[in-house]
Amino acid sequence: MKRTLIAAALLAFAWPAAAQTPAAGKRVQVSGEIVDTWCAVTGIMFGLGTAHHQCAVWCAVGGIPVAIRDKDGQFYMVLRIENEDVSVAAPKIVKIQTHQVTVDGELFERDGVKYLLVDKVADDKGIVNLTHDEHGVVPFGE
Amino acid sequence: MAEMSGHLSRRALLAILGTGIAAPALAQGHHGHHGHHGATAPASTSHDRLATQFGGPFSLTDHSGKRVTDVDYRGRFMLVYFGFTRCTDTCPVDLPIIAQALDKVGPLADKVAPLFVTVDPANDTVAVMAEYVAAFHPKLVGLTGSEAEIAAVAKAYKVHRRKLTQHHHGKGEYAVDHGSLTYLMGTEGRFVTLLPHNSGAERLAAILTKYLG
Repeated sequence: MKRTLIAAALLAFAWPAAAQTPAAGKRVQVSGEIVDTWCAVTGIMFGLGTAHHQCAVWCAVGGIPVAIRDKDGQFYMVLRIENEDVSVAAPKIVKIQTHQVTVDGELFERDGVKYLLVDKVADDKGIVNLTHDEHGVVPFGE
Repeated sequence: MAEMSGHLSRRALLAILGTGIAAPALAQGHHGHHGHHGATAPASTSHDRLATQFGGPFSLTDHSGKRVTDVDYRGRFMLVYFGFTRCTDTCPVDLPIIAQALDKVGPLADKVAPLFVTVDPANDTVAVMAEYVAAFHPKLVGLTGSEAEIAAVAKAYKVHRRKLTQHHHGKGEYAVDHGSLTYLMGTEGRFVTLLPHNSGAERLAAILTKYLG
């Protein structure tokens, strides 16, 4: 069902006029859960909270970009976090997978995707989305 | 390159999940929506930090054995993807997407150099790269180099790469976890846009048409 909805959103996507001039970012504060984009966006499995924490860490380490999912389901792909400048898959972002955070940074919307350059993790409440009782541990099992 | 070991890799996980699932990209389709729930946008900035995050000079060897630099591709866009020829998950997904998108845009494909940069130069020699890229698209250019050269270009594009040996690997066997973004660089070598893993050929073709057309 999620895949159907996302496909519908893609079909409805309206391309802006051709332009090579990128838009500047804007300062934002975003709150939400650090998620693995592959699983959380595609709906390939239940991709939120403690049920999915182990998988989320593996995906992040494996090169799948990390995003912040806010309470309304918006995804903000994190391309940089604080002073981590070596790779998108920085250890700092891997270590806070599944955490509920509030970040300050710069938002860019490019070709339908929201990207964040995080300047500061303003608040980190840790892992608060306890989903494993309902969903088990996906996809690894107990 | 960093090394690690573990019980189950992402590629093993993805294999478990199956390969037939079409995973769309992170398209949100919320153009013009400025009241981001969970986000406030009180001010704008005067420069584009995103444009300076990715890309830079490189000096590598293409799959024909010719030494090339980023300057050799000036006047054309560069579609840059990092991977390795033994990859069993992200590369076999994203490289066909690139190939199909190139076919979809027709003559516009002449305006772009699709570059596949190895993250595993120890194995991906010129000969190995030549055979590999030919399997995907005649325009696809394989780029390899010394460990130092590959490390430099990976750093320029903020590409994570990690050599991974696991219990099921035989002697000398390994995998390489790596970043999965596809970068579109402009005719002057500057960053234009990027796409997440498995964004789909239609979507990539639309983006190429938007910028190349």
